[in-house]
Amino acid sequence: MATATPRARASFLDPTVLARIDNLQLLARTVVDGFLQGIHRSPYLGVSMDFAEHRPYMPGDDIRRIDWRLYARTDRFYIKQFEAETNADVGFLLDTSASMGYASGEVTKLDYGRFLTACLAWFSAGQKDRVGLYAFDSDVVEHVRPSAAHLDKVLHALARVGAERRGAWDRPLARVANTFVRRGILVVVSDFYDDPDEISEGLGFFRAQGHDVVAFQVLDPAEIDFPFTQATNFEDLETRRILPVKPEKYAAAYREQVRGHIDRLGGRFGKQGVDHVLLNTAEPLDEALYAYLVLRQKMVRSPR
Amino acid sequence: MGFLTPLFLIGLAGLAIPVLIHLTRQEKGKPLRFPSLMFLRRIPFEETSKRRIRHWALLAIRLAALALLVAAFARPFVRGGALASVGGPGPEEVVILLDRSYSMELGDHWRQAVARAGEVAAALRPQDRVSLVTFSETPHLVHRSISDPARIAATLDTLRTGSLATRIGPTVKVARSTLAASELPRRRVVVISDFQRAGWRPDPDATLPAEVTVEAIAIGEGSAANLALSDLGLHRESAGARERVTVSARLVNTGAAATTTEVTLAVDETGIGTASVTVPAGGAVPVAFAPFTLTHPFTRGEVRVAEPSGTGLSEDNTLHFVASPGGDLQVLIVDPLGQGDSNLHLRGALGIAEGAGFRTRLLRGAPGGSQLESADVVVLNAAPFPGGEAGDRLRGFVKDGGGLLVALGRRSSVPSVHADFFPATIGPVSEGGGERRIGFVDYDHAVFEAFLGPRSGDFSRAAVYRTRRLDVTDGRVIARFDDGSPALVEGRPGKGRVLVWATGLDRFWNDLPLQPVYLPFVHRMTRFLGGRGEVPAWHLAGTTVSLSALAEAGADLAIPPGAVAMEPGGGSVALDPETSLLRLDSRGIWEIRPPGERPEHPVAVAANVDVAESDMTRMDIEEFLAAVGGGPGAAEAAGDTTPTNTSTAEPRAEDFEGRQSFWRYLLAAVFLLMVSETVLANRLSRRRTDGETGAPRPPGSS
Repeated sequence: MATATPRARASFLDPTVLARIDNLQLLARTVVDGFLQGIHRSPYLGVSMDFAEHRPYMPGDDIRRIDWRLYARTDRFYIKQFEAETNADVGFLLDTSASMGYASGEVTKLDYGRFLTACLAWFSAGQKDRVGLYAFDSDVVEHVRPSAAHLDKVLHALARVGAERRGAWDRPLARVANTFVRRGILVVVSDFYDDPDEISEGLGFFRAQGHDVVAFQVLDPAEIDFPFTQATNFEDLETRRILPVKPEKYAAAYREQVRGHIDRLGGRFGKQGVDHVLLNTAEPLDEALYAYLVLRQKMVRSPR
Repeated sequence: MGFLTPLFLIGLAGLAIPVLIHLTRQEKGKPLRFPSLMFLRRIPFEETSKRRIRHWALLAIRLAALALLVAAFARPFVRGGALASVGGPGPEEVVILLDRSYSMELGDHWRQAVARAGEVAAALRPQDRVSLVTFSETPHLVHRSISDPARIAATLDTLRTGSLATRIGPTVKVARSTLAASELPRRRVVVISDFQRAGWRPDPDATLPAEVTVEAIAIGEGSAANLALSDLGLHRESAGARERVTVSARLVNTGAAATTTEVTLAVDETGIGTASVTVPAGGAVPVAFAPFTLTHPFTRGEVRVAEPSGTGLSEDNTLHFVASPGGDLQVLIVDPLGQGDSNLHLRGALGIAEGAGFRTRLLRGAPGGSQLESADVVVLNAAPFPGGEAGDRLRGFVKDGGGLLVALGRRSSVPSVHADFFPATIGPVSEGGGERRIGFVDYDHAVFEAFLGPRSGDFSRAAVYRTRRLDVTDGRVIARFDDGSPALVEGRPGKGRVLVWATGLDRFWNDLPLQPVYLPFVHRMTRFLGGRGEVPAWHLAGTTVSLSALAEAGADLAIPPGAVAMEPGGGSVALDPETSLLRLDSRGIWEIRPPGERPEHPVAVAANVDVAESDMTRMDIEEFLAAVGGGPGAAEAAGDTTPTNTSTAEPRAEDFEGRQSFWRYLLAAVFLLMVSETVLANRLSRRRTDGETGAPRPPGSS
């Protein structure tokens, strides 16, 4: 799903600027707060103040949340419940395969995904969601169980990961399916260099489990535009295979191949009900944040 | 064909580089890392076409450029043929220094030296210039900066060795001045010599600029068997009215074997004595002959050793001398007051003499005419100058050539009529104020010249208590006391000589008579006044003697007007009538006589070689080159110098390479090839691009 967003070209959303910030927590807070101020929305957008229902007071409930007017009428203690209190588990799946380590400019795809994940995690934590992390390549290499108190762990794990090994989808998704059981949101950040059918099938499983899934496809501008001109040997970052390529002859074909892959991926995801957002590492993060914001609003409006 | 730095030829292996580049250029590039190749169709390059060389011309140009570059670094040169004289940084100024000292007559040394000088001159190019300087005691610039080797060769044919010793230092100075006047860019000095150690004394002024290349061509082996006579001495003694002379000499053997030979003494070309002498190897023995009587002035003699022909040097086999009979000087001591003790030391001193001595008479009164006629010198020892006729006679005696010694005492005085006769006015007695000493003597004067050398007499040890003050009017002060007042004044009235001694010759006013210098001092004053100075029996060849000074020292040596000096080997040298300086350029007897006349006993001067030249020991040529200085050629020449005298005669590879400098042309060719390569490569690249893109070619393009 490509979402049209207003372009708030603030410097705090520029990946090249963010790349100079070492502290992911500071980075996420700066990005999210700045983003929210830019769109003039409440920072507690997800915490709706709409009344949902009353329930009887139970020992241990916060007495500040007792509806004293109803107590005056009924002489019974009732607790007011609001829609926003139905917070969800948010699991971030960050692809750390070697292909994510590519950068034609200053920011690698992994860095971009790291920034994005940190910002979304910070944003979700602000909505009182429980955030968790699955960093994976051919297996899960970092796992943080979803929890409202695990934002710091998520950020620390994000800071540790690196793009070194080959990637695969079967094993990591199987492990995520075993551990991410409560209905929630799965945010997948990857370049999705694999068969679209295979990937959509795997993520479709989570949709079938009732999870909301959003797929952020992160690509470098060079992967999309293929600006190379000189005949060069190209080396695959994951397979280490070397291919002699004459770009002036095959650039157009390459771009066509990439476009086709993205379109196929979007089509498969659409069928599975997975939101698909294509991100360019040269672009600011606001598009991704908007996409997530829309998704979160949708969840709030249509409680499960 | 050769290479100065052949190791650079290893770089020819680099010729494979362009070929490899042609064949493997695009397969060996650093790969570009890319996230995934799943979209890239694997397109193999046209390997078969890449591995086939398509542009042979381009490859050939690149290979040729690389090969020429390597060859340029190897610095090629050609030794022979027409190319051997090609190129070079410019014309060269060469100065040949040729040793013609008498040691070069040994064996075929001189022939070798001349041949080497001829080779150096013949090897020069037309644009080079050459100077020829021969040297022994002094340098002689024979040719100055000419470009005609034939003239050098012709001159070399006429040159012969001389009688003088080697002195390289002054010659180097001449070479330096000759090169300084040259405007040619390259300069070289070639020294051809036997490089005897005695011929070189380090001299800070005898150096050459750093840009001058110095080559040393050593002739000979550095040692040779030789017999040499040295230390010729004449011992005179009186025998009645005659004088007898004993001749002695020393015979030196520098050979490795003892030698027995005969040494002969000849006087006036007549042999009068022969001694058979055995000289040990590397040793020396004295030789003395029986005395002979000097019968006439300028008696000539020579001591000769018979050395086998073909061995050793001939110049040092003969020593010459000239001797004249002296006879006793008649000294008249005037003591009118009859104080005999006052003349004790004076008479005692004059009574002791070797060879020609003094006959003294003590006169109690004024000297008469007959007494003065038989006297050579009159001494007034603390006595007044006589007045009246006696004074006139004494004055006439001096003016006619007699000598007068006036030693002042308390009673010394000079009548006013004779005051102009004296070189100084006699003042009052100066006493008190402590003793004085002789503070200055004029060692250039004949009286004191014998005291010039170290430990030859110390006048300052004599204490003087009283003097008479002298105010010099027409004289020359040749000694002073330490307070600056005149001690001894010389006057020249007429033909005679007067010496005025400001204190006495006895012990009353000073203790000079107790000093060792007293006796020679009195002798020399008396001989000077009597015209009997010391005339050397021989001089070193190469020295310059003043005949007028010799004539002044010896009464018999009178230079006839218009006289010329006849050289021992023939020829004559005109004499300057004022200075009468004569340079004794060759060994033997030099006659001084008017041209065309043949007097029975002409004035003669003997000259002998410097036997130091007979020592053939070679100097350290490296040390010589380092002291002389010059450019890198000096050190290299030293390294090449060997006892086989082939030191630097062969031109070195550096010389050829430096003169030809082919590397410059090779680099120029490399530059042109690279320009061609650039143009050709651009054209080929453009043509290929046009062919691939299908772009329309400009009209007329091929």
